[in-house]
Amino acid sequence: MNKRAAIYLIVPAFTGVLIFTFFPLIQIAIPTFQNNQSIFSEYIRFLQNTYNVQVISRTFLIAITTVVIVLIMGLPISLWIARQRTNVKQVLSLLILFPMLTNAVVRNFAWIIILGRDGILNKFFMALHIVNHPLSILYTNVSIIIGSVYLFLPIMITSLVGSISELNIEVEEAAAVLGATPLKSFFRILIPQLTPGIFTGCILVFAGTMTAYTTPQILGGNRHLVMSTLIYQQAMTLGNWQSASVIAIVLIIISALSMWIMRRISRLLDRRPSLA
Amino acid sequence: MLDRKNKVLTIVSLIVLAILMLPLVLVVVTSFNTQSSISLPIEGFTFNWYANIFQQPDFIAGFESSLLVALLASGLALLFGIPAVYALTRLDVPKASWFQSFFLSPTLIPEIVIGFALYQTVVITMRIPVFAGLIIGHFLLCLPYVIRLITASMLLLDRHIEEAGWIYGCSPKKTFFLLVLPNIKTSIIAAFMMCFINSFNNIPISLFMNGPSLTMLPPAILNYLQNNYDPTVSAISVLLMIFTGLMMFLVEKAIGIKSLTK
Amino acid sequence: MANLEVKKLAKSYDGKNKVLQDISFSVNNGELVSILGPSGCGKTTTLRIIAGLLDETSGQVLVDQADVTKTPVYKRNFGMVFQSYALFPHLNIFENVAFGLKMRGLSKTEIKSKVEEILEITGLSEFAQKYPAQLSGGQQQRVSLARALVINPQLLLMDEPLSNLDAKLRLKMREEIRRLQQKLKMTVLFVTHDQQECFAISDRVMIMKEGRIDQYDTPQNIFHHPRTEYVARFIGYDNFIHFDQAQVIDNHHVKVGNISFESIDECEKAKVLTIRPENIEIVDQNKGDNTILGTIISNEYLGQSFKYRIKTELGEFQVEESRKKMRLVGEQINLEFPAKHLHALSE
Repeated sequence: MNKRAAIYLIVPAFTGVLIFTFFPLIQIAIPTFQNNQSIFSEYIRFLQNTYNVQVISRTFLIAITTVVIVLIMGLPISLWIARQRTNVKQVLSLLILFPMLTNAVVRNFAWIIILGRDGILNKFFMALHIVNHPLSILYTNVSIIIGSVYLFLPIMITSLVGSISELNIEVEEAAAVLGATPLKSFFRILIPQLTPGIFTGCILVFAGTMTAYTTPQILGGNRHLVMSTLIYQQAMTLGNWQSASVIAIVLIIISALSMWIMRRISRLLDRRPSLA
Repeated sequence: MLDRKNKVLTIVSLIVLAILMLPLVLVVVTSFNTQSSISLPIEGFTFNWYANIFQQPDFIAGFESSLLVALLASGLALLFGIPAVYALTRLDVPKASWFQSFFLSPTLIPEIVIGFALYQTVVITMRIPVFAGLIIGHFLLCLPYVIRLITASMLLLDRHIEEAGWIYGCSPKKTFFLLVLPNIKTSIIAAFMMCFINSFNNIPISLFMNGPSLTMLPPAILNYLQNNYDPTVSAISVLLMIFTGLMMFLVEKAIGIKSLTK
Repeated sequence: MANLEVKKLAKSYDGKNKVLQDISFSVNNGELVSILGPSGCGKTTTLRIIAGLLDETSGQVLVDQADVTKTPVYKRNFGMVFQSYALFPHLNIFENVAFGLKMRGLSKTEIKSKVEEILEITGLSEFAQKYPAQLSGGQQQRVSLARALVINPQLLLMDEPLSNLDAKLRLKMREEIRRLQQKLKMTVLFVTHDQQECFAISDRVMIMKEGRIDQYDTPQNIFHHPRTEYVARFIGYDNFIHFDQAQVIDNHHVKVGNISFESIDECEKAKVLTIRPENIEIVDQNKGDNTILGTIISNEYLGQSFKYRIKTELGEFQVEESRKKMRLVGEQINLEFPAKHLHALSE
């Protein structure tokens, strides 16, 4: 009886995911391997185009830089939030959650106001005579990185606050009793314990930035395409479905592969024996 | 020890917090500017840009369809997701963790690819109407939240509660509705909220499923932003922030906001 | 209440490893029977099959001679108290207790009077409107019991009901369970891994080992006549002297090493002698038979008595002695095993 019931309960969701996630992926993947010359010629041609390679490396560069900045900014504040008294912690968590739940268009738009030619940052720099002409920060890789950092910082903080809250503070107290300074304790005691949590956060941010569409679209403009904006441009603006499919497959493979590698590294670095 | 009393840590944290908050504050300020370009400091105070929102048919229609799609997609995700989770956590399904990963797999596919692939398959090949395609896409976006949050609470719920129900004469089906559902209510609300917010805010999937008669709100704002540069965008951003705040308030009242980040 | 009969019950999950085999026993009307054994011995599996929560591989469960083996759990009329209590967290105490009656379609007034009566008996009246999370462990335990009693079940099943309580409360609750059981003349099957607890409240005790029944008897008989070494160990016989048939002198005498032992039991088919630590006597003179010389290797203060570990040529023995002063480690003493306390076991 259990078996029949289980089938009835699982099949609807299973079919939904199968038909609408895997079937479409297969449908876009098949034509990209049906080239007269060899099955990979579409991909070889794609990678022979220096413009495409430039887009891929830009996507990578932005994702990696974002992860590093988000981590550096996120760690101290996560630690600070995790170690507040419960009610303060709750208020701060709300403050972090608010931008996270706010529409990405709004969050990126805010940076147009700040980074634009007539933006606050340029006005500020000019007033202080740091620069004479407004800087063009907007529509560059830098603005995409800034936007991505802003977009993903709350996710990193939420994830890290969770992991830090689970730590036993007595371990650090023991280190302090044994003579570790706060800084030493941070690098020698806290970070090693947090390795899995940090990697989880990094994987989330990396995958998010690699595949994000809205931020590079709003803050990158047409001259700084990343893979996701390139897919949209190829498909909807240029009508080149074949090419869009190739990029889509490449994007899936690259992001899955990098997540897999990061997970492996995380496991190698985590020196605590796994329970499994 | 590094704790909340450490001065360096506190200063660094407050700076990061300011960086997180300030941009949103600036958006609010610019929305009241009398100038027709978005700039700071503002020269005068007006509500005109808010009034202008309601002059934009795309915004009104977009809000309505985004709301409808988010409600339907979240509802469907719960309807499909909860039974699957129940089976996986209670009915000794072989390879349950494989199924679990399968249901979470849409999160591994970039949203832009889901949008693109669905558009090709569902709209072009299967000739399913764009609106239905939109629901399907947003359903895929929502399902993983349902699976993850409901699984967590099913694993926390004592199995013996259901057994006690059967012992005292309640059939398995009735037990699910009388004893299981009321006890995972919190995570159902949390999952619904996460689904709703993420669906409502989604751009990449909605972007592909745009028809002449169908606009979603975020793409509509994006579109407006690319063609005009006036504080209307600030104004509607403020409304969206109020909307987010309202949702958070509702969640906090209903179940406590912490349930969302579990 | 009713009587329970279990016939040749067996359970296997994969067709090869038998979790239970050949479980046959009966529980008389109004009797409290405990199933005792370490975790993994099959006691909870047995209980869950009887409850109907688990399918048997073969065998039968009969209640008042009626075969209920294939009756779905929600159509059997049993009560069950879980280790975790399994109270319904979203219902208050009144609603928790009323649940079974509601499922049986009783009218509101009937439900009200029955629930109130049972809350009165179990001393829970003042908590009727509270929720489980607001109650202490002992109170929750009582609600769980009330919920089971109110439906007037044919059989009450209890799965380690006391193991989540602290030591003091455990004593109090077990007295209360026994009192209620005798007052209401309930048939109870009680699963536990606590030997003291089960001997204190049971009419009969069933000791299980690796999916089989090792001994099923009254607490007194088991205590004084354990059937196997396994049972003996479980109930506090800490000292064992193994021997083979060549060492048997006659039916009541065995010679191990160069000491001959006399036992009240028959030794001819036995393999091992056993005695409780408190029955060994420390004597000044070595009289030869039933006596062995040893050295104290550790001492421990138990409050009423002292406990010693003693090394001898036949291995280590544990001895409890009531005395004013503790003996010291290293002291040489003679241990005497009185024949009336020295039991011979066949397994």
